[in-house]
Amino acid sequence: MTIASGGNDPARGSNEASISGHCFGDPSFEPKILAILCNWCTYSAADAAGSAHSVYPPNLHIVRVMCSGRVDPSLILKALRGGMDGVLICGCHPGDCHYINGNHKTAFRIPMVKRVVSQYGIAPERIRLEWISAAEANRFVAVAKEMTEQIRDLGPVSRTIR
Amino acid sequence: MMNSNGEAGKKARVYVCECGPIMNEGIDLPALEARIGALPRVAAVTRYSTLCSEQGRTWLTDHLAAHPESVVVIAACSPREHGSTFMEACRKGGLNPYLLAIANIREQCAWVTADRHAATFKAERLIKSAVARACVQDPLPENEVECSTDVLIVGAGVAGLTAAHQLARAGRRVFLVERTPAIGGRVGLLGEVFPNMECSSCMIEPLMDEILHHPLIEALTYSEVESVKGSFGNFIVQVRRRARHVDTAGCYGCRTCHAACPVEIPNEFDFGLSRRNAVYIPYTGALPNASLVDETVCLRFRGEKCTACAEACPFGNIHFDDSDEITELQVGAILLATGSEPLLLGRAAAPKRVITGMMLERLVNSAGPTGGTVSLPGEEPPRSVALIYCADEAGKAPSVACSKVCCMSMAKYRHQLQQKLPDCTVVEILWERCTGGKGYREFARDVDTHSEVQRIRLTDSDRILRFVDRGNTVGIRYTQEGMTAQLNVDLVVIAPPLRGSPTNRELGALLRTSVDDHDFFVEEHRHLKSHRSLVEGVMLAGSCQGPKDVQESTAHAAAAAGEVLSLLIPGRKLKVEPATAEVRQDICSGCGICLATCPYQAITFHETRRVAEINNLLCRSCGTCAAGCPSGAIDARHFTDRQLWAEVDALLNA
Repeated sequence: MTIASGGNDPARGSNEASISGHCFGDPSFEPKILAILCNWCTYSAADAAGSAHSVYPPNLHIVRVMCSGRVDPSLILKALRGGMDGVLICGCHPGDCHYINGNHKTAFRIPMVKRVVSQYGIAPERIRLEWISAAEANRFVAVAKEMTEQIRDLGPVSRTIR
Repeated sequence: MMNSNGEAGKKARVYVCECGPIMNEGIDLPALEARIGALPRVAAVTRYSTLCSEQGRTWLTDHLAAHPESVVVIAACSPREHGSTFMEACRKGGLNPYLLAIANIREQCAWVTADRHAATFKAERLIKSAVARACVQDPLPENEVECSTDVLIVGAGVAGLTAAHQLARAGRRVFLVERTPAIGGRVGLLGEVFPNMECSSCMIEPLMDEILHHPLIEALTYSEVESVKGSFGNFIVQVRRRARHVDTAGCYGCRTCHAACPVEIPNEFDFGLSRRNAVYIPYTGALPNASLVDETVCLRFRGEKCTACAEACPFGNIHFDDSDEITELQVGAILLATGSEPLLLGRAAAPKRVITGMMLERLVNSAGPTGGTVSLPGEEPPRSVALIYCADEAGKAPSVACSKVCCMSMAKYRHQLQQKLPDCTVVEILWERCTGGKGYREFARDVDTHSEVQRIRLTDSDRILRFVDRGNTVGIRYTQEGMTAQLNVDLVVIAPPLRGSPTNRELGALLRTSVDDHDFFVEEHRHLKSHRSLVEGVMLAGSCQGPKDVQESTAHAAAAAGEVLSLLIPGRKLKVEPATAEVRQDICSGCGICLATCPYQAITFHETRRVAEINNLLCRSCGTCAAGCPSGAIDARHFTDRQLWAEVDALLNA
């Protein structure tokens, strides 16, 4: 992996975002986005978006887990290293977890993963955590669209990883 | 399941459901079929019009039986829609259902992609991903274990009694453990219940009689749960049966022994409004109607040679040599019905003219310590009574939590005071009034119309400062709109908020199920599963889960009993969830991090082997422990690291 100078502090934003977004932006670039969704809330929301025929970009691919608490930080790292341009993790709203508090653990783990990737010069914005309930199909579609555009602006992750 | 397969040679059989005409509208199915068929890891692709139809399911079952592939992918609608349908078809077709992978090409592809061409490519990627997953899936054994259908109920209040009755009627053996010497709980102490002022003991006594004489119910009064081992289906519970020193079956409740006893202490069942002896029956009407000797105060158990009660008993029924017995019970499920009680902070600090609602209940009750006369023992009836809603005896502002039953109780007290003391001045001090429930507001309004009351309404910034003991009266000092005021009355009745029984915390620790800040047991789901605790096989009934009146408690108890009946069925074994988490004990470092990640207490630490162990009957398959294990020693079956990575890796290379 390359070491980016500066940009290590996610609070200050990253180098990668400013370089790839504005200097190397490629309009033909189609990002690959992995969405890891919990079975009970967001996977249901995604299904409901389907039933409502709400269109979102085909760039987003959903992998189902029973709980967002199942999302191992190493899976996110491996996905980025393998070439996923963005990883979206979604679960039930805090307090609504089907497994009491699995999402609370996710809420702690994801910021940690963001810090780790920013140390390697990967924009932490490539990882996104959202709480989307089964009733929020519209919100899921909005997040899918928004994230696809954000990642399109950031450019391919392969540019930052060797 | 240790992953040992997923060899390069494995090939999947792919079924594509056309969903009638629907799938082809969004996806070019002939093109998709051709591209999938050309993939190296695909043995064959078969299209079918509607796999979920009865015809489709039969066809699928027959097709699977005729083509015994070890790896199957179905590209169809969401697994949340027909996942279980297709798993059942696999089972019938002789394939382990955990070898099936489903590609959701309808809800998450055909229906959400604007361009048919793009949707076809996306469907291809999703199927490739499912094929990759299917190739590394493991068959999971669908095991069953023997279980007991007997039930332990802790707490013999109205909830515990209702549940016991219901379970016994269905032929289940019930052990009903009650901490106090009498069954009936709080309802046994009440005179009348709102909103119809039904006589409480008339209502509950037939039920109590039936419980005590039912051949399938063993009521263990004066007993406590000592230890709990095992889990759902096979709990082993040790119950301490405290020595009553009186043979319950042989005691006729004649009370001759009571008069002979030289000890006299305040009776806790009348909240100190009456006195009892060391040998006693808790209250008039208590069942079983049998005396017991209280070891903690009896002179004989404090080294003296008193035998007064034993000499007085006309039946020779008092046995000082009896000692506590430990009974071991084997049950399939445990139902907690331990109830709630008003939150009291240092009762001793309050003047004696400040009493709780439960104390007024005892005074009003014709079977109570004053025979139904509303007056403190040995005193004239009060000429003025203040009812203070929400406050505890320290006189604070209302707590954040509302117990919802107290406002209706207050309306009931006003009605009873109007009946019993028509000339008494009644003052209500309240912040708000909550009277929701069938017929409840009607009752409260009716009381408002038919009884006179002075009402002092306080706002959130107001509070009761303190109670001043003035001998024959009590002063209530409070603030109203920033001004301090004092009201003097003969009697103050407070309705403090309820909290779970004080034994709940200890019991929760024994059962490893959580208790909240108010000592109520935590339910599995607030709305749908409030009768289930966080531990499988441990049910919650009545107000041990949260404040409830009689109506709600009995309905809740019936739900809990029904849950037990539907989970534990005689002659049927207990299905063990196959897709639970597992610990690779050769890798586990014994750090114990996983123990804290599991909300269901399914993980325990093996003290001699120094590794974590997962109880498959308690695990609910969330996989949070697998993601949290720093050694990578835990994997979630059917959602293994390898399977998830296979899905992602296939998407990357698609």
